[in-house]
Amino acid sequence: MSKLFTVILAILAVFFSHIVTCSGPKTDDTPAHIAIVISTLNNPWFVVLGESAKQRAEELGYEAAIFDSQNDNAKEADHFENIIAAGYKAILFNPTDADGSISNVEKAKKAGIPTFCMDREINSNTAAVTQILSDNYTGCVALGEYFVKKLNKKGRYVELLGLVGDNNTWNRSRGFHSVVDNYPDLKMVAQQSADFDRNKAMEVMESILQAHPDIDAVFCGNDAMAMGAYQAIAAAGKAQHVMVFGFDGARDVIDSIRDGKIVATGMQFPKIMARKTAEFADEYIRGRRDFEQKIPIAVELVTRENIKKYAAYGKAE
Amino acid sequence: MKIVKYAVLFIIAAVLLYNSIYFESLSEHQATQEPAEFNSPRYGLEFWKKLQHKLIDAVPAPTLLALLHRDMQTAITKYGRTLGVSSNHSYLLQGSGTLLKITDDALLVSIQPPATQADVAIATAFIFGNDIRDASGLVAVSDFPSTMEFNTISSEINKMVSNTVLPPVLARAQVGQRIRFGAATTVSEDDPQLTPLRIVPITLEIVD
Amino acid sequence: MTKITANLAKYQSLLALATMILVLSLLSDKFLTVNNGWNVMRQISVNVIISAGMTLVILTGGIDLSVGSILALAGAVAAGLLKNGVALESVDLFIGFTVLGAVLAAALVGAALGFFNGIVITRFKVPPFVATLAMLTMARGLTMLWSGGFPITGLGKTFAFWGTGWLFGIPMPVWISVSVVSILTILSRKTKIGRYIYAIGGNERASQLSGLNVQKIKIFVYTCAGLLAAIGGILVTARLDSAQPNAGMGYELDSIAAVVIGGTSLAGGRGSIPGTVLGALIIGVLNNGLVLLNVSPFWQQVIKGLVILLAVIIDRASAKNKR
Repeated sequence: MSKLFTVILAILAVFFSHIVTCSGPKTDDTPAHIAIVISTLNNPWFVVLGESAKQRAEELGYEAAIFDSQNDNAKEADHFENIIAAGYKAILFNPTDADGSISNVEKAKKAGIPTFCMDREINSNTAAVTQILSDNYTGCVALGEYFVKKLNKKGRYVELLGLVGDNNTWNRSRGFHSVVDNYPDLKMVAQQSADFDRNKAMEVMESILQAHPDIDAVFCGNDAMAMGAYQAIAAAGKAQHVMVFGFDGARDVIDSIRDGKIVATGMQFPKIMARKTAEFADEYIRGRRDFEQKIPIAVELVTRENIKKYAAYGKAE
Repeated sequence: MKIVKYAVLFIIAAVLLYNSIYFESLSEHQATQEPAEFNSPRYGLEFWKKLQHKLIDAVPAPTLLALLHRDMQTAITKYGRTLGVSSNHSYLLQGSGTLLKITDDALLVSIQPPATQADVAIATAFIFGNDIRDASGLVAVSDFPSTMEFNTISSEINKMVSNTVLPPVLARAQVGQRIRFGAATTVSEDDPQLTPLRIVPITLEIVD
Repeated sequence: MTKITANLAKYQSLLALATMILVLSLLSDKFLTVNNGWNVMRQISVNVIISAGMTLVILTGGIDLSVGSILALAGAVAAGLLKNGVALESVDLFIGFTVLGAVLAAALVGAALGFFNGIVITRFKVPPFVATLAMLTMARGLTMLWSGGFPITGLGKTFAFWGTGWLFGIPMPVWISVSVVSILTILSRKTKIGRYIYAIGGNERASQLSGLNVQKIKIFVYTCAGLLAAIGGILVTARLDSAQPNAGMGYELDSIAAVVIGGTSLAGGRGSIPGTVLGALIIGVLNNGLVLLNVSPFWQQVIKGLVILLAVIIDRASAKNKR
């Protein structure tokens, strides 16, 4: 039996080497490797971020590999150790946590590997070379303003939060509330978490609609939840009365805004951020050192009025 | 024998416990703790003072408006400030004009004769953005370890505008009065809204 | 009989591990280095600790799905007590915790939740799968309540030492996992209670009839699993200098995988802790190797699944042959 195991493992080994040799360009001089560490690939938005970074890095002549931290700070720490051991030249990094990820970046720095943050920040000004950030808070301030205007400063609404252990969940919620809470006639009748998940948002929304059939609007911490909430509302026959707001700029929501189903979303630019980060890493490797520590990328408000300018995950081409 | 065993166990437990926890008076403890949170009201106040100096050099409103209409790119490079990568650019400006109309969320002011067209809309509601912070050029996002702190500056300044700048003027504003302002504005390069230009007041007075 | 099959499973795992190491060092010159060796050891140490507890549970024919959540709660408790202490406003008293105090309290919390699992399973006859599934949710909720959904960071150098420090040239987490494994191996091999654990898994009814206090042993086993999950949580927190409220999600599956690959039967009664360590090593080497070889993360998951499947199929086949 052990023979069988060995044989199968050998087959697997050949299989790996096949995958390995297939990835990356085949050139005589081996190109430098760039690691792309993404907080989670369990969400299409982050897949776009990671793939765009990889694509740009490869265009620039590097071999790039994507690592999935699965929203787990400890897995991320493992990745960093492995990346250091494997001798990568740079890390394009989408952190799992603003505080918890600092020590990982510092470890890489100590080993002489530069880290470039993208989309999410780490709360340190010295660990990473530069950080290209999506300003979730400010994006949600703009969204909150639009929300108040659309509702005419009056009404009952529901908020669906993302993962409660996630920084951006709270950055978004705080930005939104920093505006909306100034209007006493806007009453939040329920605030529940749906884990950034479309299906869960639908279920949560179905339950909320039982308790509060008379709501006027729903603010969702990301687009997947906005789609789920919209489905529940449409199924209850309330699509005409309840306004749904999302955040991210995902494909379905952009289409839905165009079709007049969802009211607005905040457009983040994963492709721009990822490409820019890869370019910075390239410039760093070529010797540039004068980088701004933090470079926010504006989140833009997408509404039915300006939807023509936008496409999924970015501007219309 | 059993007593010895229990005594030994008890002593071990006591030693462990002694090394595990310590007691303090809560009020004393709180006094020794330095405030870990970023002191945003104090920072906001200092920022506000510096801002007044900045305003002295602000571009005159008619100049800026004309340039924005004529040549956006020059306006951006000459007077604008941009946060990170964005198609939005912020400006500090100052000027005076005639109050044409008072709406729910703005004072519509004409800054050029003949005083018939509203050139600027001085915001009196929805003061939530980063216009003032970004136009001032006084702080950079890289100065702060956490962007959240950077964002609280805006909310502190916006509070000051809503609570101290606007109320005295709104209380006695009347159409036809002459109004002087120092303000910040943000204009999108792709989709500029210039007539009227929405501005967020930093100083505001009625001059009659 | 049990011993022979357990040994056989162990040889298989050893052989598999050796093959993997050989193949990986041929494919990547970065793999077989001292530094990378410590990387792998440090990375698997938390899984080894949890899996050791899981092995005991599975040997009795049970399962513990709550270890990941207990890990998160223990980490959060240690971090919270260390950082903020306990404030009793009514009597104007502040209770501060030293590193030792925070660690003990976290361990106590883990053991208590494990004990609770044991009580529910034995006294209320709830199947282990269901009881610990409930605990998985409850402990996660308690973690969120305790931390407010935010990570707790900045815990100081003394605490961080346990996760990141080195002692006599060996990383601290490795010291701790090696100690845990040694103690539990001796417990399962050389003590009465160890023999009872195997006996219950082999035939619970017979053990009961022959006068064993099955309930007590089961409670002991689940308490152990809870305690070890807590130790894992303390290590994870110390390593990151941060207690994450969503730490440890899915760790129960990683540890079940280690146990199964290590040749322990999910039906109970057959398997060993050293086998589990080998299982954890195989997963760790695989994780590390796939990364060094630049395999896409999507493929990594497929490959890991295949390895688990293979291990069980081979285990089944060899068990049948021996019968």
